[in-house]
Amino acid sequence: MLQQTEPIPPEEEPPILGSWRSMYTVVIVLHVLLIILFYLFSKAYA
Amino acid sequence: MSTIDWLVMIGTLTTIVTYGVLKTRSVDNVKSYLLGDRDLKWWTIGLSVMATQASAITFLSTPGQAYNSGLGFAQFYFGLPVAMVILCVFVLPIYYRLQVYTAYEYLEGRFDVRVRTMTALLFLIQRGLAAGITIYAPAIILSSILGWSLSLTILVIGVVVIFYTVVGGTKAVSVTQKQQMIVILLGMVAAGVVVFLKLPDGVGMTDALNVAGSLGKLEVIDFKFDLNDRYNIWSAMLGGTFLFLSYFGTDQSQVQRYLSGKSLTESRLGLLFNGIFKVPMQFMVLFVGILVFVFFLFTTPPVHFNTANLEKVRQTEYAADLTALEAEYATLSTTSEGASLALMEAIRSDDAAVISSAKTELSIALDNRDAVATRVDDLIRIVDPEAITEDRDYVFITFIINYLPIGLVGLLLAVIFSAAMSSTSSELNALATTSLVDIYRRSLVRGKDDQYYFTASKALTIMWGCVALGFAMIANLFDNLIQAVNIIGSLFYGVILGVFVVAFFFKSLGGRAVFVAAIVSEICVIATFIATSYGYINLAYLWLNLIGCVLTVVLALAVEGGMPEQQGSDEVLDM
Repeated sequence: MLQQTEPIPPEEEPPILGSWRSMYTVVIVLHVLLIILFYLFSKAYA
Repeated sequence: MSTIDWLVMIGTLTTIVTYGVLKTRSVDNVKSYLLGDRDLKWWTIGLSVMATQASAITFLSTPGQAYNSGLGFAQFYFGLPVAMVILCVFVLPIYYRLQVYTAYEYLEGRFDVRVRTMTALLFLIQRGLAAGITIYAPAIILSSILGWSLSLTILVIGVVVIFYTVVGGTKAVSVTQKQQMIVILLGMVAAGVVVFLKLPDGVGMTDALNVAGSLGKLEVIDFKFDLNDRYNIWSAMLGGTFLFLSYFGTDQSQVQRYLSGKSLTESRLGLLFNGIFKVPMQFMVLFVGILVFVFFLFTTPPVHFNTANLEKVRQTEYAADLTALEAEYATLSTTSEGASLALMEAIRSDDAAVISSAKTELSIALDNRDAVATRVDDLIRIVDPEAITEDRDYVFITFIINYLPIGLVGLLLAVIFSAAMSSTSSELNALATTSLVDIYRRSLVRGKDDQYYFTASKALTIMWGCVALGFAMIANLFDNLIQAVNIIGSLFYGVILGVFVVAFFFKSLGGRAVFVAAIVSEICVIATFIATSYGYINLAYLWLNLIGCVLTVVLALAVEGGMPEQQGSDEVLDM
């Protein structure tokens, strides 16, 4: 028999930064910075 | 290996396994066994997700990859943070809302039981094969180094993993993985520090980086678009993102890690933790390989890193030839050591002409050294035509055994055993869960009580453990261990991801369309891989993920256009 889905739980805020959008932005920005650092590192020792 | 090393290795592993078993002795029902009571915090989830992906192969093969080819392999992981964010936004809320045990369970509510079963079977095939390699790959190297038989090494890894996975289920996997990951990270940092301290007096970190950089070992990013190039930023950001979306979003060995979270928030934080720290961790492991490379510029390395191959040659009439080649190699290494010091001094002088000349001299010296190593490879193949002469997977373990201080050798071996056990335990746990929930309980034996399925879960874990052990016993070694696992994944992940993409984003498409599309796409992906293997086309394996996914979506749209049907909804069947 079919079981209906659970009610959508209320969206909890992350423990820091206030919203999940900010959390995701931080992760992506950190990643972009890391790639830039890798690029500069490669250039510095090429 | 010294007694202290044995004590450190056995003590570390025993402590972790005992801790895992004691922490999970209250597990006595299916939900607890397969979902770990859903009480894990984000740091346990994050470390568990990292430990599942980081197999022993990662720690044996990756430094060797850097030793041979530099830091470019780091790009392979560039798609991972993007994938983590996409999963947190779109996928985790759906899994949590539906309260599923497995990723494939969702597909039945969305499509039908055929799609659920087919996708679960694709997962079982690819993960079942990979589980064998996850045990076999480190076992063949550890057996060679420890002097154990291959079968015994496979059995030791396999039996210990089966034991604690059967006893404690998914919770035992997660809690042991947390400890294992801590040991792994400490061990790798210690190895990096020691190899740096082992560099000759007067050779600092800047010198080491300058020399490695001059030889092209520090180029992390390759912007050149080349479909046949395994690691460039384009294949990483496109193919890699699709691979990681599929791996983390649809591979039960990962889905099960974050479904054990206390809440959606804890699971999201666990995945974002992985998104932030995975790339730096892989870079660190590769960087240790670069330091080992620099170390062996100033210290004569073995002419061939797999000592078992050399021993085979020593038992034949070619032993004298080998000795002569080793002597020649040692002489050439002395030359390259001098050339390395000269290059270091040239870079310090900052004179472009002198640097260029010193670089050329070192390159010639290393080419000469490599030429002798190639002659040794030829000798090995004469003695044993079936022998694998690719020895990069033995580079790091050779360094560990021969150059690390007493105590640290045992810790690093515990790192490698821990990594083997952590990824294998996740795989066995996921294989058992999918077999039980998506096949056995759904289609074969329905309507039994919880205790029956609890016992069946344990039996299935033992069964998959035996399958993995059996496959490990008969597996042949691929040219590179880490790539073998990734290639097997790429053959199936794209199509599995395509099915989930249709499920999440194309609500008008039904089960029949996606079922036909997935089967045709899988045939096309395998045909493309075979065509690549025989040289008819040039395509790096990461692109198979993109091809499989896009083809599944496009074909599903085409089939639905030709044969429209009524679609399902986001509901799960009560079993």
